[in-house]
Amino acid sequence: MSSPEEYMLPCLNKKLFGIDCMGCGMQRSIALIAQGDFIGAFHMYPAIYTLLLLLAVIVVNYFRKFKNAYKIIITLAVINGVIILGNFIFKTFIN
Amino acid sequence: MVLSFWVTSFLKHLSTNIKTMDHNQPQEQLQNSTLILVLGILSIVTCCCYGVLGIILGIVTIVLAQKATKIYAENPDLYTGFQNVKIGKILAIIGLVLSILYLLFTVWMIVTFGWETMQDQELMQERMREMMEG
Repeated sequence: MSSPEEYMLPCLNKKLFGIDCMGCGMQRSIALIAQGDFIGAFHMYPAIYTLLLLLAVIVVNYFRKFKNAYKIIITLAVINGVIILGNFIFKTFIN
Repeated sequence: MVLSFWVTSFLKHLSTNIKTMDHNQPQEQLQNSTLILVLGILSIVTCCCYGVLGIILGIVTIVLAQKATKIYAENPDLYTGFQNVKIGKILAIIGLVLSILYLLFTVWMIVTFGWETMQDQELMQERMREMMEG
C-alpha cells in the first residue's frame, strides 16, 4: 500500500518559509484517524477532534435544528480558534 | 449493520423533512445561506494553509453574510436559513482572525530573520533557538 502522504496537498508556507502553519498536521492527523491511531492523531493536531465535533454539530443542525445550537456552535468555534492558535504558538516557539 | 441502519433512518428523516418543508412553508431559503455556511467552514479549515486563501475566503464570506443580513432584515418573515448565515459569519471571522495573525507572524519572521535565512531550514531553527535562549 502506498502511503497516504503522497496524495496530500503540500503546504505552501512550509515550502516557502520552512515554518509550519496553523493548519499543518491537519491532513496527517486525519490520515492517522483513518488508520485508527486516535492518540497519534491528537498529538499530530490537537484541534482535530474539536474541529470534527464542530463540523458534526453544524451538519446535524443544518438538517435538523435543535435548541441552543447557535450558542453551542459559537462556543465550539471559539474553542477551536483558541486551540489552533495555542497549538501553533506551542509548536513554533516552545517546542 | 448499525451504521447502515443509522444511515437509512437518517435519509428517511431527511426526505420527510424536505417534504414537510415543501408542504407548509411559504418561506424561501435565504439567498446564499448554505454557501455562506460552507465558506465559513472552509475559511476556518484552510485558515492558514496558503495564508492568503483564508483571508480571501473570510472576507468574501463576511461580505456575502452582510448582504444576506440586509435582505433578511427587510422581511424577516419571508426567509429561512438566517441562522446558517450567522454561523457562517462567526466562523469566517474566526478564520479571518487566525489568517491575519499568521500573516503578521510571517511578516515579523521575514523582518527579524530575513528572507535568506528562512530559505535554509536548519539555519532557521538555529536562529529560533538562539532567540528563545537569549
